[in-house]
Amino acid sequence: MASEVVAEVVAEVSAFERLARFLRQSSYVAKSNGRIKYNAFLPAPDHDTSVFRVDGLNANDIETLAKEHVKERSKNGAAMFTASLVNKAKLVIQSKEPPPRHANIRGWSMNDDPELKRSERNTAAMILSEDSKWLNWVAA
Amino acid sequence: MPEPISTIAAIGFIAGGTMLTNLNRRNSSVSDSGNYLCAQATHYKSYSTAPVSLNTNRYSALVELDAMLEELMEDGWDGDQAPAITHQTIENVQMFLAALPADIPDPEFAPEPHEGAISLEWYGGYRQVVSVSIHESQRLAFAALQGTDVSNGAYKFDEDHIPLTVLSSIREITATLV
Repeated sequence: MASEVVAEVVAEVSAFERLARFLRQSSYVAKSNGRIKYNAFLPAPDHDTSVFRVDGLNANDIETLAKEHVKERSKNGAAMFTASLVNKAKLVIQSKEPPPRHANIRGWSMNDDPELKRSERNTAAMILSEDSKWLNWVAA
Repeated sequence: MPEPISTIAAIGFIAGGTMLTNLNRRNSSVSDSGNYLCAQATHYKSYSTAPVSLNTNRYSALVELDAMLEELMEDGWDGDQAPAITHQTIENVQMFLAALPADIPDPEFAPEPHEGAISLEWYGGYRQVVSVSIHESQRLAFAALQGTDVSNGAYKFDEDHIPLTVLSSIREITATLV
């Protein structure tokens, strides 16, 4: 069970850790090629991007983690990526428990111009998404 | 189906265009207004000789958009605090689609949780993606990733004119798929 291994992570997120972003929208996966769209990584207003640290977990464990700790609509799988991408995107990641293994990606653009803010956030999210892989619950 | 053009408007356009073309051909004006007219004629000529297609059918894209919108018309569609997509935003997206030149492929759509914007995205090869994020305002949020280069900006969109920078990036990135 995922819940048996969840507590075994240290507070600081290392650059080599695997992270999972649970997908709540089917439109976050490109139909043409299964690519994760960058929108999957964008935060809600005034929020950070919520992810889970999944080192040492297999696909079933990750799905269990989603069922236990994500409110709804996580039926679309997860975007899997490594924490080093967060630095590349000039963002930061911080452990934020509970729930166990949870972390937040922070540092998104706060530009006063709403369109510039969106465009800057979108380029950062593109860097995260382009090296992400889709973990599809159905296929796993 | 090609869009209908009224006969009167077409005759007026052709007559006016011919006049401007002739004016452009024999420009000997020295006044400001003469030079202005000549510049207009040159401008007209560059448009009148460029190939234009009025048969831009975005039917499939509109169907895709409609299907996606079903889930997004209420606040909290992301399971968190994302605001609903508004009718004005949808109208702006439709307007942008109608203004896309025929050689540009249909985009993929996805919602953005902050502010309830909709992004139109085009994918090329590895690390080649460009997006236009549309909200209620008449400004577009542009973002592109080309290899290790990123570019972004905000551009005004005036209903039938998509900024050249945006179109060039879309063409460049979609060409990397070939």
